Amino acid sequence: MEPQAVLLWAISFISLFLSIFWILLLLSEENKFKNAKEAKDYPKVSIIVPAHNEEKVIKKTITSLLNLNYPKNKLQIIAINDDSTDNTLKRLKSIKDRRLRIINRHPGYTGKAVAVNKGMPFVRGQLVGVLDGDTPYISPDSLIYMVPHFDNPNVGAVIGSLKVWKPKNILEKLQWFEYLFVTLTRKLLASLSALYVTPGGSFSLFRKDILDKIGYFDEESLTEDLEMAMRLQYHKYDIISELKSITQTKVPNTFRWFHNQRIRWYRGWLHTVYKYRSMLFNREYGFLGMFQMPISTILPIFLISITFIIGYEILKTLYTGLLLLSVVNIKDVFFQTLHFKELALSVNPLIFPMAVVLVLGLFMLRRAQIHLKETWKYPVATLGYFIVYQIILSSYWLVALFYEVTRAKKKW
Amino acid sequence: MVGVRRTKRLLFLSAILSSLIFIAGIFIGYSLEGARESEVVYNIRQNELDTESFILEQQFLDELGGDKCGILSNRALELQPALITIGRQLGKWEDSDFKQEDFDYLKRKYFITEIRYLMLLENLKENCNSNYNVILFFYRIDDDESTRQGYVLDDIVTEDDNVVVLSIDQDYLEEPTIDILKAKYDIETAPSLIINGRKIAGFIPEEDLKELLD
Repeated sequence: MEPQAVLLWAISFISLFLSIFWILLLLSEENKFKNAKEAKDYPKVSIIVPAHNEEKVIKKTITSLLNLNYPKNKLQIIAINDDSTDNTLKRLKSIKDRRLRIINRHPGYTGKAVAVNKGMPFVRGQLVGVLDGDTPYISPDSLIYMVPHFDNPNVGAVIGSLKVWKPKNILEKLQWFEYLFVTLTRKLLASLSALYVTPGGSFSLFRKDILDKIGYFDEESLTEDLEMAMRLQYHKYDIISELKSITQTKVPNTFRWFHNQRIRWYRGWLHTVYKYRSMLFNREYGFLGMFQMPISTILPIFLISITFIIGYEILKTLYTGLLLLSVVNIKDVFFQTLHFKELALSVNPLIFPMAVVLVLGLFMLRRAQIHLKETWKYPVATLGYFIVYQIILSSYWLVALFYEVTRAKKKW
Repeated sequence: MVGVRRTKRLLFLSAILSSLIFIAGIFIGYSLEGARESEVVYNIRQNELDTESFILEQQFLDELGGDKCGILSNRALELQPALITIGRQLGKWEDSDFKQEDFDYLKRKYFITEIRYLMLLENLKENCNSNYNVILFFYRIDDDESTRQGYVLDDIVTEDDNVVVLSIDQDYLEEPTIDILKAKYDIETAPSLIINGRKIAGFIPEEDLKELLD
């Protein structure tokens, strides 16, 4: 067997194994998703909202936060105008509410972590939340569902579920699928105590005294939300996912923006894994250290190699086609390649396990839609999500890996 | 929260289930390969029988007399399409990872059948003045020029009933007769064509090739 065939078989087996594992976990856990805890009391909550040039959505974001179903005297909003060059500050100032505090930050845009940390000294709550400025929707009962989880003193953070805000073009629709998937996966990871991200887009709530102890957001990191979650895990605090708290965030609608975001994420992930490499294959960190971290680190390499193999096969087919066209005309080509029986007999047997993976993926997607109260839509994008999108993502992994190895300048 | 023991149990169960599905996949792969193999075997057997019957017919007519050339010239060409199909099926197999020994056996058998067929044709041409064109096509696997030449020949065979193409893998070492053929025509480059005894080294386009045919 050629090495590329061995690799392809290995990758198919691992994908199959992972899909079956997630499905089994989902089936055994999903009946618990609906359980809601009753709050014993309502601690004071401060929510930091970093905003860098968000004039279009910032007002919606702040308003939906002010409309949260939570005792009025227990809620504080700290909006950070992070060196915006548009009308963000003006929009913020037009909101009249005593619970809102606006902080203006000027000296150049240097990433979200700096902005959020800037808000920390103003926090009056026992719990502190972070919500990105471009997240115009947060479900009104979010805090009611999230806060009770902190009754367990070991819980360091609770994250909500994240959906895409009004997807319009195909790129946004692809991400709409991705976010449903990712939210469900995070819920499952949390049930294994292996959740390693506390995203600002999906509203993350932290216990303030724990942050005081382990430090605020890492201003050097490209993905401060990932780094923070890993740090909480490193110090063995629990991170919980609450599906019933729903936020909707704006996602990149141009390839340029998407490119920058993904490169930043993937570089951030590589960097974070390197920083916490002592957790890798460390029994103390259970599923996260023994399984999830290694898998998520190896996964990009798999994605990259599978893209290369598939790309190579496609190019080879095209090349043969061109050779054929260079000597005979199109009509003959059509009749020469039309040997149905031979074609049916020459199917690669890997199609079979891969079809199972696809069916399981669709099932998972359907469950995610049900749990996040979405309907089945965008049939074309569904297909695109399972095939084209994965190839696009893996090419970004390759670029990120390249940047990380050549230590290219960081860009927020 | 899912406990450590349950996590391990789930992982174990997933490993078993995925192995089962995978083994089923491999099994399907083998049966497909089996189906493909029996298809080739069937075609080769059929072709062998046809050749055998053809030789018998020839001897019969030699002994008892009759319009030997008229009957045999037409019958000889009937063997050609089956050989093309077998060649194509074997070509597809070349990329596969399954049942390599079976493939080697069938490939050798295919070349032997081809050479026997070639001898028959030469014999007929000599004794009956038959006017068909015999093209010996020496190719190399994974060689672009050979692939292109193959397409050209495929096209010519479908268009012209009087052309017989016999393709021979230049690098195939298992069958000594191929070495004899190669030595006879002094074959060094791929592709090389022997058209009615004349050697052409290197790729030749369809138009030029047609001019060389009777």
